[in-house]
Amino acid sequence: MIAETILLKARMGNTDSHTLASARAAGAYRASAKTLAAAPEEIVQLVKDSGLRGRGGAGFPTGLKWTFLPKNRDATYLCVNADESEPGTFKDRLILEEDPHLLIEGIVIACRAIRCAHAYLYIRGEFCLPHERIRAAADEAYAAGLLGPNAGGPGQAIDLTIHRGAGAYICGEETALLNSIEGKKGQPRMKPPFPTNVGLFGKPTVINNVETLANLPFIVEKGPDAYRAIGTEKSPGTRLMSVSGHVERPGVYEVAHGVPMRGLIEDLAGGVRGGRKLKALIPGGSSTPVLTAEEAYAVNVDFESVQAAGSMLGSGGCIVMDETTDMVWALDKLAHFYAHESCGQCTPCREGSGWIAEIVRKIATGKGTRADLEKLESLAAQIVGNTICVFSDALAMPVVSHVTKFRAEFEAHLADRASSSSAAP
Amino acid sequence: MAKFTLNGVEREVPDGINLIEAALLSKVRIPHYCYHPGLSPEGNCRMCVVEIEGIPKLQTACTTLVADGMVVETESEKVIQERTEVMEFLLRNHPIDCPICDQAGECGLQKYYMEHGLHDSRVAVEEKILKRKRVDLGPLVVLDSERCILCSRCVRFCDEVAGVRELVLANRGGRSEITTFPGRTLENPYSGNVVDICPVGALTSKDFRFKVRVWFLKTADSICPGCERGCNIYLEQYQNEVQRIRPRANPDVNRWWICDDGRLDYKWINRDRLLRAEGEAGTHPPERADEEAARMLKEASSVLLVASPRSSNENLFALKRFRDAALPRAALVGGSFRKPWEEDRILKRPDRNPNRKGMELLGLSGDLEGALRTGPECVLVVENDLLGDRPELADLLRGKKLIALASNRDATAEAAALRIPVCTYAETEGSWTNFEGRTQAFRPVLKAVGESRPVFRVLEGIARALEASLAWSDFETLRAETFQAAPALGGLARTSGGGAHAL
Amino acid sequence: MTHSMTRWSAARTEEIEALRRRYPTDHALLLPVLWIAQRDFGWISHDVMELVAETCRTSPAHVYSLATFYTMFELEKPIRYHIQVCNNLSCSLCGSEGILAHIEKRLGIRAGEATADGRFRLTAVECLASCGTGPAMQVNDAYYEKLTLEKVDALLEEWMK
Repeated sequence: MIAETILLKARMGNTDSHTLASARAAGAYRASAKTLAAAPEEIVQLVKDSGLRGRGGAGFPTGLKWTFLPKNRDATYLCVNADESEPGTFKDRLILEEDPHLLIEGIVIACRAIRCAHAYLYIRGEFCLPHERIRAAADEAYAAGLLGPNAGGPGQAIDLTIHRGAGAYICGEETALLNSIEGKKGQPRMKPPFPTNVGLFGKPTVINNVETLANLPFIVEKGPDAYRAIGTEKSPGTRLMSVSGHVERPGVYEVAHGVPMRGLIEDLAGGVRGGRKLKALIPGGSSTPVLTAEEAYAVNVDFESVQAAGSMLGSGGCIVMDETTDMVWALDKLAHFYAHESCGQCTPCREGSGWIAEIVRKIATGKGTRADLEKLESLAAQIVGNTICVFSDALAMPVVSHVTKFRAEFEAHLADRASSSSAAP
Repeated sequence: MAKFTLNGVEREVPDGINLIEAALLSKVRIPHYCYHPGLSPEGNCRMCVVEIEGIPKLQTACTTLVADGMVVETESEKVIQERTEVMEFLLRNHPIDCPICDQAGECGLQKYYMEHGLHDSRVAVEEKILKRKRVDLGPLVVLDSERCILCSRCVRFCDEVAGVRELVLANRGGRSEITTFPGRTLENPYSGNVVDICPVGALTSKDFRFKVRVWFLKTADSICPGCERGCNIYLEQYQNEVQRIRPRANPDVNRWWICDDGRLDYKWINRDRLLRAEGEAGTHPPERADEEAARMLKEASSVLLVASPRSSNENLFALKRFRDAALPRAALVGGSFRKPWEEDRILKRPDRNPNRKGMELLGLSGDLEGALRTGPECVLVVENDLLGDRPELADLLRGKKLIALASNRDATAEAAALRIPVCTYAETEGSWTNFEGRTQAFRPVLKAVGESRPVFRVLEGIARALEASLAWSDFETLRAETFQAAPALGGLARTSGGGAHAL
Repeated sequence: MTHSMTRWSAARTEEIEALRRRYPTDHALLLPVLWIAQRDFGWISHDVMELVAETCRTSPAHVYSLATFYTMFELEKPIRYHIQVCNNLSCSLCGSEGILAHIEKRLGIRAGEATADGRFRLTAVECLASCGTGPAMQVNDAYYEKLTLEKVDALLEEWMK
């Protein structure tokens, strides 16, 4: 039996956990107060030592990212990525709704570390309650002097502006997010230059995910060693895993990196619903390659283990599918999502995403042919690697993994399937 | 300078240029759609990908600056495969209506389609996404959204060059579409350029639509007569009529652009032309006309010759020589004529005459009204619609014998006692000197219309009838003499690049 | 040129000016101001786009491109209840297709359509980050989760009153 390891969820669960009074009573802003006496470089070092890795999807070391900022700079921005839109992922929402002060404290610490006087929090447009909560929490923090003109020490402002998105998955891509704040369409930028050099409003900018920042108070308060004592060597700390789909108890579970995936599904999420068998599992949000039941039950919840199994831990969005699931139908859902969300900038993604979605629908509705299936595979290969951002890769991965690992199901859907396969049980 | 290796050959090119330009300097074309040298690079079409040693992913040449030691492959198997795949995506929803498309013959899709041999389509025609066709974008431009490949050149042109965000890409993904704000049109005075830079048939010219297939057009390098900027243009004709004007890139003058007024400033060449010499007693063959002019000039007690800031340097010089050789007592002034228009910060200059500067450098300025007030008995006006441009001069011209050397039946020609047809700039060689002192040549694209002759040939004829010696064996001799006599013109200016931007 | 009816109230002008101080460019105000406009005017008409353009010192065409790129702006007419049912994988695994079909039947419209009286628009939307509490839908500013047909019926009864 595995159990949760609680770092981030410590104050959650009470009806008033989102208020400053409640959060403070439980220790909020002790860590940020501690950083007021520290030099920015010390905080950066602390975070580097902790081994904290980004929770947005790529798992990039947070402290290292901060050091990419140029030494001499007249302004620095922190952008908080609260555009949580990766299907299967709903953990940032939990932080925003239940403990927004944990996030604000993390923001204050990050601002101190990178000498940022104005942070922008980009929250997805659909998040109404989370928006309300984080705004109210920011107001409380301003009133208490935790944000505002002297929040970083006498005369050292830390401002926080909450910027609401308006419905576009792509704005979770960090450079699209910057464009969106600047009043442009949320379309990814060409890199280089990287945001740490030329970011928001042309200034050096760090973009960090909500959950990433929420780890900072613990690291500052308890120290990097205490943090490294949790999780694995290369993936320290805990992970907020969003578990959804065919499980008895879907929800966000906080586990130490390295626990077995089977434990997460069976012990914490109550197992596959109705005692059915697991068929497939998407481990890290819809963009990560699907795992078969055998693969899923062999991995642990950490970056390296999932990668070794040919997928990615991504944003920690676990979608569980039981034996009754039609995998062509499942891919149809995902393919249409990507066709809907392609920003339209680059030719292969704009045209390929729609084309792929059409073919999957054709196959799912029994009208596809063997030629369509071949076309689907070649299109998935064709859209990879020639676009400004990784969106088309994020579409290709589920397509390729679904078709490869569940090929028989796809073939059984074809209109011109061989009689042997149509006769199969 | 940067030394880099392009397809196995070491090249040296200036620093700071992108790989498309660097390759072009070595005569290697890298296919592209969204890149245009006059606009910021966006890297969205993905056609210009190249292989760079040491970088696993293909890179867009338009956004990659050449660097010392770079090893670039533009025709490797990997690159060609990628380009072919991009072409397939671009053509996925293309309506294939080339038979009725004006772009046919100069279309980037046709060009690269042939080069990449995509002959077997994997898309059924009935699966293609339908979009808006024949959208009236503005006074000059029609949009066909189905043909659009969303390269955003036109959007960037309006933003970056015309300075107005009139065109945008609305919606997103596969439903993206070029549009103006609903209910508004593309109104900026440079809108026609979006037609030129559209690499496909999405934006076509209302003025040129369905007139003639582009492969029937004959083209000449010319200069816009519309103002003293001297924008470089292509004049294109079919059946001896000018069909359209397009900008000819010149980084020192007009970059890649012309204004809409300049673009449409050709209709007069095809219309209301003076075909024969006409006097009070009827039409004259050329030789008779020259004799008639000579008679009028000889009989007059005083003569005024009026030069034009629209004439070429060569014709202006010929007029000076004509005065010296044939009518040494005649007064000669240069005069102004087309009313100034509003200058902008892009190309348009206030003076609407293409050769004001050349006329001044040839010493032909002067006080036209003052000269008319001295009461000359006979006035010879060369390429100058005095009355059309300045009707108030009618009083001063009244009672004077007027001879007009004119290309069109303008107000001055109509009022003249004798009008002799001359060629327009579209039918002759010549040069104009722009406001910056840059002397630029234009070349003929039309055969002379009717019995019109170049101005200097008419002047030769009149001089002959006046028994003066004035003759040039050919135009080149005249030009050489002109430039020798007026070194201030500086001879023909060299440009630092330009020509067409071939995809 | 904006329609004379389409103006900010004094309070709204103040709110916008306060926001302006939070951004180094007027352009960056575009999304916040579009949201304010949608709240105040109920939808983003062409008149509203022109007002927003004027406020944020950009062209109406640019505002139009934003309003059509992002999916959450009402561009056709004000809608009393915009029902957006999640159609992505996790919610579908939990039965959202049945929920959507049921609402279509109850309202007599297909997803993507609005009722003639402007009371309801029904949209099948992408992931709302309610995967753990699916099937889910968003109606205006509120989430409704762990939906069942009975729950949906009760809500519709309420809204149809």
